[in-house]
Amino acid sequence: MVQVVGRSYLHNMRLLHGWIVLCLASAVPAGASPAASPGRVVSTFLCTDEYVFRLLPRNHIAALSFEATDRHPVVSTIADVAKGIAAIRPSAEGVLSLRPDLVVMYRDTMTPLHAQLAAAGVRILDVPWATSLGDVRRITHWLGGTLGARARADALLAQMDRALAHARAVAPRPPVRTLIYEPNGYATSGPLVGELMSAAGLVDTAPQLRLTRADTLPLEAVIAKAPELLILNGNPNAANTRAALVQHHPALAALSGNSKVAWADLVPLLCPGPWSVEIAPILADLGRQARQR
Amino acid sequence: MSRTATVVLGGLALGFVAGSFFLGPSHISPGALLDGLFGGQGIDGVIARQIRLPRAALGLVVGSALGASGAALQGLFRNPLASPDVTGVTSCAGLGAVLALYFGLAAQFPLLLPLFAVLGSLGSAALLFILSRRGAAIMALVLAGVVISSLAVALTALALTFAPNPYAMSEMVLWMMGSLKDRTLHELLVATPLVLAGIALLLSAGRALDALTLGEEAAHSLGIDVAGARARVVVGVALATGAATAAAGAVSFVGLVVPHILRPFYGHSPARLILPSALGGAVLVTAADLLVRSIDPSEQLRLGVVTAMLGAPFFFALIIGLRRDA
Repeated sequence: MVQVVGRSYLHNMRLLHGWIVLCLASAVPAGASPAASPGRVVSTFLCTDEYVFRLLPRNHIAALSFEATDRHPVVSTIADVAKGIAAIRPSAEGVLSLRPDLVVMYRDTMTPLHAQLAAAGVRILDVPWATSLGDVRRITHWLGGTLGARARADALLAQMDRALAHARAVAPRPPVRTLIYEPNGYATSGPLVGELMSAAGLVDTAPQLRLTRADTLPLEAVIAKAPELLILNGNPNAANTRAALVQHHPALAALSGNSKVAWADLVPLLCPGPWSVEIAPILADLGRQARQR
Repeated sequence: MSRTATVVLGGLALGFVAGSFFLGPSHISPGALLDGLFGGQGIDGVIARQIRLPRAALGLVVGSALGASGAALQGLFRNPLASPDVTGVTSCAGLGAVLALYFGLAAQFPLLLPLFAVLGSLGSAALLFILSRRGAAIMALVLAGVVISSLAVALTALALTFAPNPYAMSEMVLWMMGSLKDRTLHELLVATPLVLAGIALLLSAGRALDALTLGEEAAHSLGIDVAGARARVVVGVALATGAATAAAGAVSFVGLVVPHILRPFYGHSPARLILPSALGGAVLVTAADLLVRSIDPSEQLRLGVVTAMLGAPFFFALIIGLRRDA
């Protein structure tokens, strides 16, 4: 049986994220650290958008990248709540015209833009990529201090710990063998995803399979492996690309006898951060359903 | 000579199809795959019937379509440089398929995907046909094909950019380079009858194509319905190429190379060359697909890369040969 945790899940997640962000904004006193916050911040990358939007007051954000509010497809957890903030397709001219006093970039991305902004004397904050929950903690804490938003960062981490604790409490035991399969045959995997799956009572089977050089997993390898739980990462109604057709391949129906097949839009996993942990209780729930079959 | 060539082609086609069927990322024994193919249940059966079989068979179908179309177009235009990709027929089929797939039409009505591809190829083939009737020279026709192809590729890129599609860049590569990866039985079942109908139409025009090698007036004097034959070739090429492109994307140079390779064995009669070219195209595409998977099992390499690497030098050699003849 194929379960869909697609649109409704995504909608709920967006609402949830929206509420979390709004609660953080109202729970943290406006004067907690605004004096130390930079006044005009530009974020150039989806994953820095997620942090900047959560850590800074709206009126301190000069622009986010267009991906923050993009609808084709929705790739950010703040797509609904970040509406109204200027969206840019980062270019040196575009960023400079906003006269930012801080540009937040992801380390090692957009190197020509980085070089041009540095040459123009713009202050740049390079955010490193997180590959573990420990990294997420360190980076969030550091960003909170650097952006003058320590209280908001602490609140984000507290929310993250609550979600982790909830996932661990409801996680199935022993762990459910799980594979998360994306359009174009990519496997959603990696150390951080592995940690989240572990907290949710799942064990990632992708590392045991021979991923290709491009980290894809052939369809027949998925079928041959027959994990207990196969999560199709994406939207079940988005079949109008060749990339997504692999998730609709009729051969996957062969798994329905042995595996639980469910759709889930795992947008929060795209960028590692405290928000990624919100996915853990959903994974735990799917794991329990797979175990109960 | 031609009989031997046909036996060799048939043997190669069978060998490559078998190779394509038995080669895959799951290490399943040939015996288990054959058991799975003929009614076996379980994972082996699913992989054999729903993944390996469509891929191997689509290699045959797509290659046959492109090979036969190339032979017929070269006969129709009396032009050794004519082929579905050089004349822009393949690119226009790709454009039609992209419009149907990426704007959700194919999701509502799956048959619209091959239909749009056929309409795209029909449009370009008809345009070239009109140009050829107005007495355009060989090079002018090829240049017209280049223009049509470039326009179709540009429109395909434009359509993908405007489509609500997060994978636009990778999908453009797919449609321009072709692939048989993860195709389904449904795609095979949709493409096969259209390709067979297209090849049947091309074969039915064979005698007329032979007569046309003597010139249009001579063909008329032999009692050939020249206009009817041309229409059958245009529609046949559109059906075969459109269906093949809808299933596999644009696989280039097959229709150009294969008839030239086979002409020394079958002579210069277009009618005699259509069926062997279909067989030769099947051999080339299944072999190229095997090569793609052998060079790079992750399949980031596309089918059309291999066929283009074979075809592009061949195309240059042909142009140099034509200049020398001139």
